[in-house]
Amino acid sequence: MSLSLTALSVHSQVGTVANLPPEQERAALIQALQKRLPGTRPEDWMVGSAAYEPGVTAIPLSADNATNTADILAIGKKHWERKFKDGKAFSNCFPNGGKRIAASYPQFETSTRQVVTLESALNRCLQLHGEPVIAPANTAEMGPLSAYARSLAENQPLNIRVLGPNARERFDSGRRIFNARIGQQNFACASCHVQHAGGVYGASSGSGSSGVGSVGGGGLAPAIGLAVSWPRLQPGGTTRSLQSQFQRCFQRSGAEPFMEGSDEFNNLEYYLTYISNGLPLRSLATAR
Amino acid sequence: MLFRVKLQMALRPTVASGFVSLCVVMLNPAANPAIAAPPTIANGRTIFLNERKGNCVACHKVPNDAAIKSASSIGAPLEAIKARYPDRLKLRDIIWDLSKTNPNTIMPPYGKHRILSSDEIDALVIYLESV
Repeated sequence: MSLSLTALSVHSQVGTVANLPPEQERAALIQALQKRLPGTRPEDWMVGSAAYEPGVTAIPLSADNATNTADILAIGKKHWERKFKDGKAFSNCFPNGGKRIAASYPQFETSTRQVVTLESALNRCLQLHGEPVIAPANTAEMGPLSAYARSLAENQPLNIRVLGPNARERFDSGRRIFNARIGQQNFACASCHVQHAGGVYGASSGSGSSGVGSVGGGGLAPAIGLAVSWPRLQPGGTTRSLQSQFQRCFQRSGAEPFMEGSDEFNNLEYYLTYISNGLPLRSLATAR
Repeated sequence: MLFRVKLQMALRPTVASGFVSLCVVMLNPAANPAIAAPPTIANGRTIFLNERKGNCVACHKVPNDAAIKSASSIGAPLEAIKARYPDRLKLRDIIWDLSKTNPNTIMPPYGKHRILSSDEIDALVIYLESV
């Protein structure tokens, strides 16, 4: 089988055609999304399709979800408060004991020229104190831990900084991934979350002799607001991280995803979180 | 079992940005075999609905096919196709690779990226002409 694809070619139909400085990029995206979704504001978009789908104001926080949320946060709190072998704990690794810090992640770290996500910061803390690290994809441990760490910054406005050329390089890398056509389906993140934000994808069913139409789709959430509410509560009381969602989107596009915690996904998370700056962080939200 | 073909995997920094690009495509021929059946309306409809095939219903409504319930709004509703595309080859070209004439389209290039076989695209054309 021979097939040559340029998987990452720049998407040209979004507000990110030029390499705009971060704040101009954010403004251009807000403008593009408001054009698509008249009468809505960034604050509305953080609840995803609830902002524009008639009849969907938010997925209600049912008793089950409330129980699951409390359970996950309780597990996370236990991880957060446990003493390391040297007697320290996570709260010793962060300013203010870890309170109100999550809204400033991901951060660009000048010394390593890398993006540090909240998950990687938690792992650095473990490493610093001689503890085994937790894989970012470990939903049983990292999910509750990061959910709890984020809950300590609940409702804090996201405040991601892109300062200096090296940080800008990471931001631009994330933007390129966001706008790149990927995989057999040739989708870009921006195809769904900018170009067709608010559109309904896959909410269909059909009868056929053997075909089964897409079921359970829904409105495509705008790019701004996408990074606000992670990890997300999943049916059955598990969690899904933002980077796990990136993987899901890559797979849906027919592209092999990057690993959670990879530079590529860290850069994408950096870009995506920056453009939501100012919106209040939510941990374990059930918004769609 | 998922069969993955890594077609191209290149890690290369660009001159301008040091951006690392990765080009990997997953193809899944085992789970997505070509429908070995003649191009008919029924087969085309199956391909239209099947999530592992055309999955066209994810984006398009079909107002004249009452059995298809769709809230999808990404693509234009599909109706009066024969009148809109009297030249069958033109319709086929759109399914094969719409990005050739519309680089901004979200529609997958079904033929170019081998999502559907040539016969499957023919079946899809016949179904679409019927709605």
